[in-house]
Amino acid sequence: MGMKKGMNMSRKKKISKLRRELPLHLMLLPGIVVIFIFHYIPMAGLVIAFQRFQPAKGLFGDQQWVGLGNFEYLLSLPNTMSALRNTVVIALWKIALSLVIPICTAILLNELTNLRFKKTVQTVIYFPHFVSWIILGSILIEILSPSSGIVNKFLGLFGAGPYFFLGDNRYFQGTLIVSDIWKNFGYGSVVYLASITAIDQNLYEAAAIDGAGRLRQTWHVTLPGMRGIIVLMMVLKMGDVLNAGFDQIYNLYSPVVYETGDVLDTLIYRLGLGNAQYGPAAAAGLFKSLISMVLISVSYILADKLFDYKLF
Amino acid sequence: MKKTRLTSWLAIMLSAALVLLTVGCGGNGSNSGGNTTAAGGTQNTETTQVSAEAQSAEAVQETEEIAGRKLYERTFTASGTDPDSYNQRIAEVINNLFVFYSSTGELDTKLTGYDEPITVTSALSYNAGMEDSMGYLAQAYGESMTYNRYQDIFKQVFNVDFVYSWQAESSDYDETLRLEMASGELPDMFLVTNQSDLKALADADLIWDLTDFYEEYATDALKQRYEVDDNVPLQMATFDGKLYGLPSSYSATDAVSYIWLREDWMEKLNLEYPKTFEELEGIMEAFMTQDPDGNGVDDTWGLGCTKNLEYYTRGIAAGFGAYPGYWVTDKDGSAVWGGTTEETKQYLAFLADLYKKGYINPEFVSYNDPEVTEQLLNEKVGIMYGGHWFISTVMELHSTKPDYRWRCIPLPSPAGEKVKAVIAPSVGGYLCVNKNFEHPEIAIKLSSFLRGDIGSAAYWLHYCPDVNKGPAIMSSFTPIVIPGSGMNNLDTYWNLQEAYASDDPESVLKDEAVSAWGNLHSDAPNARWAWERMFGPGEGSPMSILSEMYKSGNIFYTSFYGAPNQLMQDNWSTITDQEWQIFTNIVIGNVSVDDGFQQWLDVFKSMKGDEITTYVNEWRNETIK
Amino acid sequence: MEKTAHKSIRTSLSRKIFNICNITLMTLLTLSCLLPLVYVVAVSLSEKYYVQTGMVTFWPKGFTTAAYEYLLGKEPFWNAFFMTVKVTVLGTAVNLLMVMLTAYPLSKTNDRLTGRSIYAWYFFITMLIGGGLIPTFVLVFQLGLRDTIWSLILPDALPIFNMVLMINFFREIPVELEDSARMDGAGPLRILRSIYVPLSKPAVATIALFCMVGHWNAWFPGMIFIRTAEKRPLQTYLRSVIIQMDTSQFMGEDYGLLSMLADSSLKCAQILVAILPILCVYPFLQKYFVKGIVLGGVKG
Repeated sequence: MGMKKGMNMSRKKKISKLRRELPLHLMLLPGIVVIFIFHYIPMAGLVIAFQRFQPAKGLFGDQQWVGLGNFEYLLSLPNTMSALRNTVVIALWKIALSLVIPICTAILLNELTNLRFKKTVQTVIYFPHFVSWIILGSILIEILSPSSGIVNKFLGLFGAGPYFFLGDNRYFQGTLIVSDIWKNFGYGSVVYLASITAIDQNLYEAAAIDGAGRLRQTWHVTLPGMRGIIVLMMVLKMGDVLNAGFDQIYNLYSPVVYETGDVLDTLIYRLGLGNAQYGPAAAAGLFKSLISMVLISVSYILADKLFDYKLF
Repeated sequence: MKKTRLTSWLAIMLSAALVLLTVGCGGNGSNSGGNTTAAGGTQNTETTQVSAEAQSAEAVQETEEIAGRKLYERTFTASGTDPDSYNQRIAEVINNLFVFYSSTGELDTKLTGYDEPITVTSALSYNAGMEDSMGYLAQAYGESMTYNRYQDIFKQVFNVDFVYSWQAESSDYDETLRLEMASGELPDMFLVTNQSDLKALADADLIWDLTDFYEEYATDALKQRYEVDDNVPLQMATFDGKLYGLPSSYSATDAVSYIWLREDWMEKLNLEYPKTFEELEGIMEAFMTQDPDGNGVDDTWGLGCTKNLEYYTRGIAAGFGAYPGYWVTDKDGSAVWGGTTEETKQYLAFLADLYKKGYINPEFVSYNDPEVTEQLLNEKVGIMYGGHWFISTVMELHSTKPDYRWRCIPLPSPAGEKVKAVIAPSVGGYLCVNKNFEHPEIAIKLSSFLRGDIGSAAYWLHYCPDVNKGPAIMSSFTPIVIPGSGMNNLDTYWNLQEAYASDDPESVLKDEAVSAWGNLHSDAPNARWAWERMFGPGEGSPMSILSEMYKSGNIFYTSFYGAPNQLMQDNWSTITDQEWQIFTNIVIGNVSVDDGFQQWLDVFKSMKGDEITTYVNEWRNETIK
Repeated sequence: MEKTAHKSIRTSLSRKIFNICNITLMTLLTLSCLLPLVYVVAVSLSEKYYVQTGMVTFWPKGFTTAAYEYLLGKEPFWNAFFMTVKVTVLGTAVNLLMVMLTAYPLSKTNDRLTGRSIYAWYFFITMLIGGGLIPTFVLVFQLGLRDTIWSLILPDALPIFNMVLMINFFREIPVELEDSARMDGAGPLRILRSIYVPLSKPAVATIALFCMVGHWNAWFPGMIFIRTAEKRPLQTYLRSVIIQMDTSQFMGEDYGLLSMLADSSLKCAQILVAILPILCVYPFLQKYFVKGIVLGGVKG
């Protein structure tokens, strides 16, 4: 009797819980549908990675299966390994700096007392993000030129250089990383600034009463307040380890700096889209996806274990 | 108050989005329906506007019957600022072609129209320049990207409604076409720009074998155009003896590179034009150290170049008898890739030496064309290798600074011997017909018709000089091919020289020479100068040099122009990619000539270059007897 | 007493030094971002000769507004411009709607939403793996969306990256607020609308900006899905104007185009006009970032 009643209770509870939750599930429905249609259905097309895909035969046509042939083909290419290495090196630098610099910028911005100045800075540093790499590429080539560029003229005042930033394997990676950070740090700092402004002002007052200076307040209040967003961005960025920035590199590199500047995406572009080899391109894409998935999962678990932070 | 503002703002957006979403799901059809009605609406207003110009329309109606052939009812009504002249010119074009084809007797046999209107869907490849030109044309005549003079002609002559089911940017056209292929829907008639795509379509049985239709419907005028080039363009579209597309061939000699020098600098420094590479080096040295621009600083470079090393040093390679971007025939008569020959190594050694001596700006490795153009206009470079149209790059500055002059000389070589240049058959695209379309002959008919002798109206039809400031290349607005011959430029040049020698030049002029003559006598002095430097009389023009090379047998065709086989499709781009990567490294001294060249040969071998060479030779034995 | 006064003076002194350094640093950063813009403005207002000979730096030479006058009459540019405005407004609205609707349930704890982790991974995985170009295109084609504005909006109707950000912002809002609202009989939609959205204004503004910039700068979908010149979005159009043509591809008849395309003043004018709308909207949204200290009171 008691047992039965208990069961009834829990069943009732379950039902009422479901009823209560139902609107939430319904709210998720549009998202689920859209994602299913536009992301999950096309995934069936990943079979291209195992085919010698010819567009003329159609997506559902009688394509020739090559097993892992496309992957073997990728490995047989002379540039693949150096491209992989460059990708990881460039991407890791970009990831690290694109975390640190926008965070610092956001904190420093927040310290500015003159509101108008703060706003101006914030608006202006955001600007390069709007400019595409096609445009920025031609501007950079100009200002970084060893013979006529402003940067080298400026360095020349101190007796340094001239440096051929875009044509010398010693400097090319550095140039890529710095220019990418320059383009995007303003954009990144917006996210962090948003989270700083969400920090409870009372916490600062409490810290100030305890005698903490600005630096200590930053360390003990601001940074912990931003912890959530920082960990989140870190985890999300881990998925980018194999994305070193196609648009940028494509517009800045040249054969002489392939040694240090050629990355997976540019390699795929040259042999894939340039030559209509969709199979190898899909294979490389699949490879990239799998690696990103492993990396993100690991960092997700690490974030949970180390910072007790659940991404979602 | 403030809180509610964002909320209500958001609420409005949400509701708007909801409404749009619901409309969007089923709204696609109604959307496009809306567009059509809108288009219809504009047409209606145009008609009312045009009723004022009814007389001109009547004028056209009167000429309805030409050379015993009736016109079909047109659907296009010219509007804009000058519809009369449009109608007149179109009538003139059609009239001339009717007269021409009735004289050959082909008008009623090969070029028949259709009583029931036939709709042909097609695709248009366009670019920003064309959009600009169309802006003028829309104002003047009411033509548009989707409906232009060619479609008007097709409708009136054949009763064919030629419509574009899609348009794509010319740089994305191949990619777009492949996407359309993959989704299984192709227009009735379309241009394929890529030989391997053509082959793939043929293999998949998606396009018509046009062999019989070509035999039956191609007029002699069209056939002749291919015959002057020994039907090489047709061979490029033929697989297993079947013709799958109508090639739009054009000047093959565009691949020839010439050496351009600053004429005024040569005069100022009292220099002799070089015949050997040693003498050329002397000029470079002089340009760099003797301050030819007179600004008191040694800020000029010996040779202009960009990261496209192959293109900008092709003339130097040719001097050595090296053709690193082409298939050539060796002493034994078999085909080899030009990049693997000993001559190429010599050419690289020479370039590396020039670079080491500081004649080439080290920044060339990051330059695209705009940067080198800037150097030219900045007067930082006095020697450039380039095509005959190089002059149009510097034309603008010449108009503000008449002393700024360039000229061509015969290509220098190691010991002053004559240089041979390689050319390749140039095909801009192949017109194919969807297998599902019932009238493949229409493709041949339309091309044939336009290939007839249009007389003086041709310049307006294809270039439209009176509307735009510069001539617009109208034939880009239709995928219908109007082939030229591979030796077009030379023919034009010879024809022009005849005209210069004649008492009545206008009567001598044919084809493209008509428009060239117009440019040679243009009102704009810089345009006149530029055209004289390309096609004009006397020495020092690229065409005079080309003509001399041609007559002395120093122009030869590349050894391979077939469709790539599977291996070639897979590996070839990587091979050429590697080739120029290594070559650039050799030139800038990152690797020694010997080591670098060996490294390149190793890559060629490891990427199965030898197997590809075998295939090329097999193709050669089958095709060229 | 004395000690504290001394200390506060010292603090304010070091504070002053810090402020000066900070302001200098920020000014330098600002300049580094501003100068290219100034350069673009200068080029757009200079005469062709000075531009082509590279004499323009940060001030127009041979001042002329010809580029803008020409641009005003350039129909394809404005077609593209208004297409992008349409896509951006509509796309951002759809994005925000979808992001809010999805992020709200997912910001709940596991015991308040059965199967939450499964949902979360279902969404998240699509950030890492996709079907690629051809399958996506074929799908859009089959749905009949090709060459419609919806092909630029629906495939990315729910931007996962932004959704994850939103989840995290929503999680900052104390549960007690929601619980008390529910006691009053409010449903989830109402709670979302009247509590979550107003309380995360800075976040909403941020996400809105990200979505807007994303739509404004997108060129690839326009290239792949749009098949009519007049329906091209602005960036796709700009790409074709700005993309550098390779001389080796210039054959025969094309050389006439070369002189037309070398006009960098016009390019710069187009770039500026293309950037302006976002630059105008940005300060408006920025207001919310700065004012966004809403949560403090509730939390404390």
